[in-house]
Amino acid sequence: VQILFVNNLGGGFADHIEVPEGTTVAQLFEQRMANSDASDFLIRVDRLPAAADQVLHAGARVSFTPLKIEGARR
Amino acid sequence: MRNKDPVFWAAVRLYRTLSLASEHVDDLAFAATGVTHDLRALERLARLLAVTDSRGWRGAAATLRERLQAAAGRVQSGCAELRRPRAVPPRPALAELLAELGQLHDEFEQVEVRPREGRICVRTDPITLEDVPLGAFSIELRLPRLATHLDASAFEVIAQDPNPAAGSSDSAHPHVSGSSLCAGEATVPIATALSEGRIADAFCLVSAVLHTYNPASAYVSLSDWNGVTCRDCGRSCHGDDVYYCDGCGSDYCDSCISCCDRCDRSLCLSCLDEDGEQGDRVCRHCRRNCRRCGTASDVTRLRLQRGLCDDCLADEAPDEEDDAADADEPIGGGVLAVPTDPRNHTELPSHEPLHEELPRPPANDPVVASSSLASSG
Repeated sequence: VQILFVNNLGGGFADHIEVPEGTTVAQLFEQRMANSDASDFLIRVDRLPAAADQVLHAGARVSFTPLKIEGARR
Repeated sequence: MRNKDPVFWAAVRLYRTLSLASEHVDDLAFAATGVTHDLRALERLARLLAVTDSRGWRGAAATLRERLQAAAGRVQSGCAELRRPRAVPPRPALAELLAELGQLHDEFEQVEVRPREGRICVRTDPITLEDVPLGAFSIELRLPRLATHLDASAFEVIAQDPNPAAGSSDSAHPHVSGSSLCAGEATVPIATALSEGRIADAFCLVSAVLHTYNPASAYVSLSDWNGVTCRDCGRSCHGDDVYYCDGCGSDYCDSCISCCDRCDRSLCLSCLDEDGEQGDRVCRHCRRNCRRCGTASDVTRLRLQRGLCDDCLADEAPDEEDDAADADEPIGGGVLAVPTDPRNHTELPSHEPLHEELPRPPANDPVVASSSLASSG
């Protein structure tokens, strides 16, 4: 199925990606955000909080937004 | 009437602003104008070249040929630029922007649209970083600025219960100066989110920066947030009223800082000693007399021997060896490495810089061990 995936870490890009049918939010996070802890992210599916085992449907809008990002001085 | 709804007003305003901004980003028309201009220049040069050729003006013709070829190169590169694929951010639909503004209400407890000021504002929860309470902040997106700045500078961050740094009343947050956020690692994600109309994501990213402390790059370090403590008297001082000691590297208040009477280096009272009959307070590099017996001695030798002349050093050496053995610490440190036996005495080079330490040798260095025995014997 195709979903809109928004990764607000790093480049902060939004892109349409293809995921296998039955993919859950936790599996997508594991695939896309390796070495990151899900508790450090605001995870939304169709703009709503999502459970880890929520299955992604075609056309879903999934966003991962870090809760902590280092600012700077200038 | 729906158009009186401030959220709807904000969505329409965002829609227009982002549409204008995406056109601004797209420089295709600008590039096309440049190519047209170069083409006209090419035509004119071609006509002139035909005239000079027909009249036999060889010098002028040679110059025109060079210009013609240069113009042709500009046209060619201009056309290549026109054909380059462009990543024009998609123009967000009005419904998407309304959904973004709706999401803001889910992510933040307080959301306010101020049409007259052209701002969308959210309020964070009270923020505490490293046990320093900084209070809540209002994150405000300025729509007029957004038209020309699709980045973090479109936001203003305003402390609602300010607890500014003692040393800088302008800093209510380690990563905010005045009302400007320095987004650091969030700079690109915020700009990308804004350019794609993901307003809620941009606000969440600003909030994430406010909830994070990066000690390596802060306007004011949180450890100094309530002022800098004088190492000597313990008084808390304003950041601008703190002085650095060149000797020990600590911070001191204006009462506990002084300077060397000879070299003017800024030093604390502990790093200064009286020297000579006039009672000059000097650093260890400028001492001219033995700190124990007061005998005038060589400046370099005094520095290397912790302000002691050869005789006083020899008196002190046995105790020092005992101390070193007890402490199980590497010894030497520029004291025992200097030969004190006149038979082994080697003149120090006269050009040696005064303010330079000898390297501390390792504890198991056989040379140091032998020097140690020689000096103690």
